[in-house]
Amino acid sequence: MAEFFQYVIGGLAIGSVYGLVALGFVLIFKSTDVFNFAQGDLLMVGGYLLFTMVATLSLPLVPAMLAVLAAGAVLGVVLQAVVFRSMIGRPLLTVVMVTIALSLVLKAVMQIIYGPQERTLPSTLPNDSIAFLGLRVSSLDLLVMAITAVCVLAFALFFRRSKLGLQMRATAESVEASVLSGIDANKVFLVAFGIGTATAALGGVLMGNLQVISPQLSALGLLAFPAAVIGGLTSIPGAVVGGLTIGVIQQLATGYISGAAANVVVYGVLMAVLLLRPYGLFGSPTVERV
Amino acid sequence: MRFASRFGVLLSAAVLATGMAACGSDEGGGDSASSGGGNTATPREGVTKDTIKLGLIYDQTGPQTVAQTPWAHGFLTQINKANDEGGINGRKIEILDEDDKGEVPVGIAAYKKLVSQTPVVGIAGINGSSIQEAALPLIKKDKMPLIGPQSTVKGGFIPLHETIFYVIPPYSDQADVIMKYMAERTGKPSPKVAIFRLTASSGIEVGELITRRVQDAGGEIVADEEMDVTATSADAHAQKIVSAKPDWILVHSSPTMAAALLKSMQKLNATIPLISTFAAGGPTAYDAVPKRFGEQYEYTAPTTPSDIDVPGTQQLVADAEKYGYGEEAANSSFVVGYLSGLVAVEGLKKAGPDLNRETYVKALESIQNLDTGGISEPITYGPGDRAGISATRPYKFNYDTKKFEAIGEFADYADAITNEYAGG
Repeated sequence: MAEFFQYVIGGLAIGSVYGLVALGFVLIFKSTDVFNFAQGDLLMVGGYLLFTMVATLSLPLVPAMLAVLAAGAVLGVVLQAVVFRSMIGRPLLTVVMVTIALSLVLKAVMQIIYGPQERTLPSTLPNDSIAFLGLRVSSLDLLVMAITAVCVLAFALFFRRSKLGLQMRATAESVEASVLSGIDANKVFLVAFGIGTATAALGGVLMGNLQVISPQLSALGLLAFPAAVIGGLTSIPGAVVGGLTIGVIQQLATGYISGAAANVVVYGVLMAVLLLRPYGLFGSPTVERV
Repeated sequence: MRFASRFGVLLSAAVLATGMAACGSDEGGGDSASSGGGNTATPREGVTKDTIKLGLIYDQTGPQTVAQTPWAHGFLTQINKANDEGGINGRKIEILDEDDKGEVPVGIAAYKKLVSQTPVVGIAGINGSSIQEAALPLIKKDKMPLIGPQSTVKGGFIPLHETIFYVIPPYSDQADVIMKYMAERTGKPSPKVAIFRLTASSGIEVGELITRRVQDAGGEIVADEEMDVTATSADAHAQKIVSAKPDWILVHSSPTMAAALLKSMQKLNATIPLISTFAAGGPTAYDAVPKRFGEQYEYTAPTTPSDIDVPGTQQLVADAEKYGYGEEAANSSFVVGYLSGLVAVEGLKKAGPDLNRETYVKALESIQNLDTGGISEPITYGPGDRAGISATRPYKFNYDTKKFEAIGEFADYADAITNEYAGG
């Protein structure tokens, strides 16, 4: 039984990162209808930015992490203003192709700037092993879970209590109606991309601590998509629950079956969820008048 | 009118096709036209009066790009150097590089392209073991020289592929050295061993080699974990391995995966001796964890890391800096690529002015005691010998001096090598 809980703890830690990336993905999709396939690459960019801040600029780790969040937000705003603003109203496939192109561009640019080899941070958040009830928990894993929990709480408050958050929710429901009621939709789109990219960058920051930094980090985005879909694609708590679910399933499948089976099980669960609840665990069915 | 228009289009297409065919036959600079079939090598494919065309196939954008790009840069360092020194017999080497994306179909398509569409006299790379395994029948049929792939596969040695010239030893030799060294290091000749390997052809091969040797020594495999190269966490693997309480862990993976395993073991506060094949060597795994965990990790390699001062590594560092790859000089893949490039250039020199695929193979086979300045044992091929280097030895990282240290000399491990794949 201890083994089972050990897998669950590891799954919750890595699942927290999936959840964060999925959260940014859902936020952007919900607010702007952009299905951003570059989300995993934005995570990778966050990891490399952290490396620059810590290894090149010699910033202490925590201020460096905050600086990466700020840089991620700025990058998101710039991407929205330069690339995605002109995509509003375009067919879904066109927008998807643009995000795939962006994904390839980001990966290539990072490789040009940082070279092909892996990068390790000279210092990371504490990764001590804590023993309790026959289990071993890493302080780093606990920190990652705590950071994710704080982010989810902050987002919940932002969307429920702040004026801008309410405007974003209104825009997500109907852009036309929100514009008619005086909401600046362009501002909402900018903020959505800023926050969505900052969460991806935060995922990169955490992965930089959990693993090494390499172009492979972008593959993590592939697991953020099923997390978002399982959660319901437009549900913010759903994205986080989806991420945690994917993380735990992945670890259990690896532990009890094999590493090669992990993705099979993850995508099998995704298919099962979509067959039983096409709108995801936290989504709601859309009713359209015809 | 309509008929005339259609006829005109058909005529234009026929003229265009004829013209393209003519261009195609010139492209190879050869003495006869290419059939494009992939198995009808013309005598001088890829060789013109002024140029020698070499193919370079490696993962540029897929999951193994982190390991294979430094290898390619090491190879290109030698090519650039040869060109700067005036080329080979009055010809400059032109590299036609292809991205296999780490995928078998893409790698095979790249190979076929370099055989007949943009023909080359030889190919370097095809580093992914799964892609290489799939390409073996084609390489044999086309009699295409393949130089210095970063990974060896058993199928390249048994049966012997006459046109493949490896630079690193087969995994059977590496497994022999690992067994000898780990018995000395742990004092357990009949060990309980855990295997951590990547999900690729070479992962299966290394797993089988180590399993057989451990069982022959009276030991047992207590865990056999395979990790996908794109996986993001090794936590569950580490948990299973630690629970199995092995005497030591065999790692065959990328450096990124080895670092992930060490980080996961750090979370579990587990300090178990680890030994890796050369593929996961280099600084990455050591940089990822503190000394207490990193000093458990050692790796075997046929090449000397660039921070160990021998004439060959001094030259390597100087060359790497000259051609813009200075930051990669410490990477073990770069070092292997550098030696692969050395072999490719030496073969071209030995082939002389009458260069074609057949003479290139003969020239490569004639390489004897090619001096690497102490980076490795001298490289030697011969009839039935395509390993190039057989000697290999373990290395560890000294966290205090921040430098690698060789554990003994290459010769210290020569008696352990059984040459299981020798002779084809």
